[in-house]
Amino acid sequence: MSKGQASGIMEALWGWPPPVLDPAGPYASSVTTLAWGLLIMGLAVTGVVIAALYVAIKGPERWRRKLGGEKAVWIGGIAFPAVVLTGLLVWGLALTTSLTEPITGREARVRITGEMWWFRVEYLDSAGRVIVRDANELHLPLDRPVVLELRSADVIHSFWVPHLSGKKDMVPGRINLLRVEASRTGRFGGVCAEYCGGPHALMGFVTEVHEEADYDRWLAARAARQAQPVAAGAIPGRPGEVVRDPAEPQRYDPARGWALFRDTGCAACHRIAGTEANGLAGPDLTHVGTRLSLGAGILPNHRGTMMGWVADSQSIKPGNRMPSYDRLSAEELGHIAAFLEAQK
Amino acid sequence: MIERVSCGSCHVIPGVDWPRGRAGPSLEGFDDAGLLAGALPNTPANLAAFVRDAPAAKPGSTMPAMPITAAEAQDVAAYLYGMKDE
Repeated sequence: MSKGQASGIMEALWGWPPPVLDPAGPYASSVTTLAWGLLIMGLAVTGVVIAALYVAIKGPERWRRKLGGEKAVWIGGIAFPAVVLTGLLVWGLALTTSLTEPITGREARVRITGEMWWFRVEYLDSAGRVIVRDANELHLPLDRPVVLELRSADVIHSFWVPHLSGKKDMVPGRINLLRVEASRTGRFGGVCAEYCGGPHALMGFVTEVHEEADYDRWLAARAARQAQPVAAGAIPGRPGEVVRDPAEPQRYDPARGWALFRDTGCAACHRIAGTEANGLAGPDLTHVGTRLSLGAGILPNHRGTMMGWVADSQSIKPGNRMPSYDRLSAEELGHIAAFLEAQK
Repeated sequence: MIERVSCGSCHVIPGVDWPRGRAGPSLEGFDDAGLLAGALPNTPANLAAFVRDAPAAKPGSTMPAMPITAAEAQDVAAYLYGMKDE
């Protein structure tokens, strides 16, 4: 899988080097260093024990007597483990204090809510108000800590981006804070790491890390779009470079897609900022045209997957809460897809 | 390539475990089909053109153009002919 346009889940779990051993931030790098340190120490001790065992069975008489003596027990059985284990404990604790570095309150905040079976993402301003609503992807600035406010709307989920941090549970009725920081730009996959029923294995997301200035521009543009009312009668969104069909250039019409979007009931669950489409049950679609994935980190986002998802999401992600709109005609699906592509 | 653009969102394809979408026709036994989309002779060149830009190859096709290059489209066509149905 390449380029982050494909599957967030595959990218979180697959690839070389394996994402859990390929840290892209200070949190993940402490955990990776600690894991390697413990593995190496474990191997060294296992080697010593195997050597002692060999000596005890096949070694020369003089060595065996030494090994069986009281001194060997004091040194090898008590002093050595006490020193090594204490050392590792101190080192491990020192290394992992950075994971619980106190939150100052000045960091940017993003609220991420686990839902069955997707992630609701809300960017907050310094007063804690939601300025941008999004879903299934998290955008982060480079080298700037961000605090994630992890919640759940239903059952226990767990938030995990292996490149950036350890897992953190999303527990109903609680707010768990996770401080993340990225030290490298790029796209990193994420998954729900706690079984949450039905299509849990198809619940993923994509994290994109931007240069600081790009991130600020990105967030400002999105916040401006979300605050903007759409005039009555106007079609929300702006048509971009949609995949045009050379034979029939005007075949799919975003305006008809918008009418269908309202009439079919999409707006009951999906919000498009500034319009009467204000449903909050499903993912916010204000920026769906630029979304890095569809279906919560599982499909690339293009005309084909958009039509396929709307037509029959139940065959792609069985049990998900969006019904298959298999009563729509192919033409109608095309209009809706053209409309959604224009939501940027 | 088939996995990257996720043809499986709409088609059941032998060798692709997931997704196995039902919005479009299943492609099992596809190499033995007489006509592509019921309209074009089932030749490698036609197939490669069709998977890349279906509406241009067959006006009125529901299947949208795909974000792949001509060379990638040939690879996809080769896979569709090469797969063995279990």
